[in-house]
Formats: sequence, structure tokens, C-alpha cells
Amino acid sequence: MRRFTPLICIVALFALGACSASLDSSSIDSENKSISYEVNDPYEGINRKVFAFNRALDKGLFKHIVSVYKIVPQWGRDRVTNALDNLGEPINFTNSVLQGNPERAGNTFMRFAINSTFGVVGLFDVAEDWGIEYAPEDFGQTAAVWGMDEGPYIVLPLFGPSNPRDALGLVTDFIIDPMGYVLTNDQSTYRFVGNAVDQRTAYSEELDTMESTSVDFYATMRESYRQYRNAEISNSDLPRMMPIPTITIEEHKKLPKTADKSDNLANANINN
Amino acid sequence: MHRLNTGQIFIMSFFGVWSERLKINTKVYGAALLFVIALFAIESTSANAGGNSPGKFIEILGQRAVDVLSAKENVDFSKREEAFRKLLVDGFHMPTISRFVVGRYWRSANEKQRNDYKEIFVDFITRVYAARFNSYKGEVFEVVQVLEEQESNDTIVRTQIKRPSGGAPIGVDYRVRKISDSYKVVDVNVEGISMLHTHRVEFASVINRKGFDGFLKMLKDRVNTPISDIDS
Repeated sequence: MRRFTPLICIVALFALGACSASLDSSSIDSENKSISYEVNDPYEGINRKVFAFNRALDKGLFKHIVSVYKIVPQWGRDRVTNALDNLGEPINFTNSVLQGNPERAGNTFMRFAINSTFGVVGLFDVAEDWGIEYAPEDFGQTAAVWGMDEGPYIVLPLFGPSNPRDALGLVTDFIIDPMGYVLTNDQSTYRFVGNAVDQRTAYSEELDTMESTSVDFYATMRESYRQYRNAEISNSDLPRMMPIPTITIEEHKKLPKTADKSDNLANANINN
Repeated sequence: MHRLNTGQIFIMSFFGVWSERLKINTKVYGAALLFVIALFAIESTSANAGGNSPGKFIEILGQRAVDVLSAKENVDFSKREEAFRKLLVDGFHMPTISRFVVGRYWRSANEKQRNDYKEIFVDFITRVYAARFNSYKGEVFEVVQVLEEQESNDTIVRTQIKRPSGGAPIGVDYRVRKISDSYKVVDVNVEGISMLHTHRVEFASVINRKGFDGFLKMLKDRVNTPISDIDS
């Protein structure tokens, strides 16, 4: 999931969303030692309908496109991914600047320069081999850095999981992307379609697995999107894992009978 | 100052730090603290080399997973799944995990529902991970960083999975907790997404709409849905 360029991200969503999402705030109620969730999804009814529509479209159309595209060997697909990522560098750069992050902006600038030349118009990610990592930045992230809240979860037709902030980012990126002024309309269209196919292909296995192992795929996508975006926004190399409280142990102490069974299953002794 | 072994705890109680730290004077406390810090420093360096550390624990667990995936006898999914079940049950703290992901609904569940849930949850989580790694072949797994988390006493072990097909490595972080003197995984983060927090929200959504019995039924359905073998 690392290879999300701004536009690409959007377009991935189009393919039903490698991203998924919402705002829910979890708060630890220290007294009861329980965590209560508030899922910010007031339009869940409509969202689920749009989600179902996107899924149907995915099954009926995009999955077939992906399976055809997979005839191209992985090596070839990697070249396409790299080239499309490279076209995303100018908007990554723009957003890094807007976020006031000169280091990231510098890296992105270097990447674009290196990969466009030594990397043969971006077909090869030479910069990464040299230790300059790909750093996707979109305007949704920029808006977040500027202090905008994500707002309620919304599922966009075609584009998939989003929220008002990221939807605004989507439109803004489209307008301010320097590449948009360089490429002709036709080229932009190819790029858009290319990104959609590329991203849907990259996550096809993960998405299929997620779908086949979820009891509520909609909720899984919503939460994954929210967490994924937060991780992207934080730009942190350090994990910002949400805590897992030690509730079980205490609960089991109160319920020794039920705990026994679970202990056997878990091969764990929880007397401590 | 966490992750103390029994020896350190013993020494701390000897100095009265552990149980009665408020009663003793600060000088003694300071000296004891220094002593324990020194011990801790020695212990942590030797532990990393010796294998009794969260990093080593994850490394061994990861190697086991790689072995499961590459073992020839595990070609069909059901066998892989069985091998994964053993691995998860050994390495993951199921009581913590299973309780956490149902959240407050645990309290409203009756005894039978709880027992059913605990059983089916292990099947479910096994299914999730076995399916997730089903397509893996020849992946390289490595521990990249081990971080102590101050506020929770947990250790975050960061790993990377490099796919043989190339592309950016997948970052997987494990939250490791010492429970009854052995390390257990209590959460897995894949590219910034916590598996447990995600399941928790997912489960809440189902229980809200279908009730606890409906939720259990859906879990069972999921576990009983066949998954195709690797090469299909």
C-alpha cells in the first residue's frame, strides 16, 4: 500500500478502493476499561448503496480488466507502475511544499530528476535503489496538515472510500497538478486509466482476500481507509500503533470458568 | 524501565522499590534505581544476542510462517490453515485479542455466546491470516527495528516483507506484550492499519445490525467458506 500517489490513490478508489474509510474516534474509558467507538458515518445508508454499486462495477468490469492486464508479466507491470509514479512526482512535490516540508519536497524533486533521466522516463526507480524513497503526498493530506478535519465518511461512486477533506483534495490535485499542464488531454486520460488499472491490479489480491475474509467488508474498508490515511498524513517512520488495553486478563480473572477454555486454546497462562 | 524479568523484580523488591517505593527515602530509591537500570542495560544487550527478546521472538515466529508457506506438504489450503492455527495459537495472545475485538459487546453476551465466540474466533483469525498469506511464495521476512513503547510497556517489532516479485516492501509491525513470562503478539499493523482495531470496528458494525447470534453465525459462515488452493 506504499505506492499511493495522490491521483493514483483516488483512482485506486475508483476501482472500489484500495483505500477505504471514515472517522471514528476511539476513546479509552479508563473507568470501565473499555473502548468505545464513534464511527463518523452519518450517511451509512447511502454509503452502503454506493459501495454495493462500486463492488458490482468492480466485479462486472474492473476485475476482468485486471485479469487481462495480468497477462503482462510482473516485470512489465512494475515498469508501468514506476512510470506512472514518476508522473505523480510533480504533484507530490507541490503538496510537500504546501505542507511546508522542504526535506520531502527535495527528495521528491531529486527522485523526479533522477528517475526521469537515469531511470529512462521513470520506467526504473533508480532513486529508490539510491536510497531516496517514494513519498506520495496528495492535497487531502495537505489539508489535514493545515488542520482540516476529515469529516464524515463518504463513499464516492467510482472513486470509493473518501471524506469531504479527501474529496476536496482529489479535485484540488486535479486542478493544481503541474503534469496536467504538460500532458495533452488525451495523455491525461491514458494516465488516469493507467493509474486505475495499475492500482487495482496492485491490490487485487489483498482486496479479494479482504473481501473473502470479512464479515462486514464495508466496515472493514471504512476503518482501513481511515487508519491508512492517518498513517499517510503523519508521514511518520515510527509506528503509531493504537493501544490494545490489557482488559482481557482482568476480565478473565473475574470469569475464571470461561477463561480456562480460552487459555487452553491460546496455550497461555493468564494468572499473571 | 519495563520488561523486567523475575530476577530484576526480585532485586527491586529487595530494595523495597517495587512494593513500598513510597516509604523509603529517595537516596536508597535512587541507588536502587541506578542498580536496576544497570542490570536492565546488561540484560537487554545479552537478551538480544541470546534470543530471549521480543525481536527474536518475532524473528522465530516469522521464520515459522515462512516455513509453513514453503513446506511442500502444505500445498493445499486446509493444511496451511492448520499449520497457521498452531502458529497463531502459540504466538498470539488469543484471550486478549478475542476480547478486545468484540469490545463492549462482550458484556452483553451470555455465557454460551461467549464460549461459542471464543472458539469460532480462533478459527476466524486463522482463516484471515492463512488466506492473507495464501499467495506468498519466496517472500523474505526481516526484523528492521525493535521499539519499546513507554506508555504501554509493549514492544513494537517492525518487520518488512519483501516480495520476490519486487516492488516496495510491505511494512508489518507487531505489538508484543510479555504475558506470564512469555512474549505474545497482541496486534499486527500492516502499512499503518491495525488488524485488531479494524476487526473491532467491523465486528461492532455486525453486532449492531445483526445481534450477537447473527454475528456468530456470520463468523461461522466465513470460516466455512472454502478457499481455493494456492495454484488455482
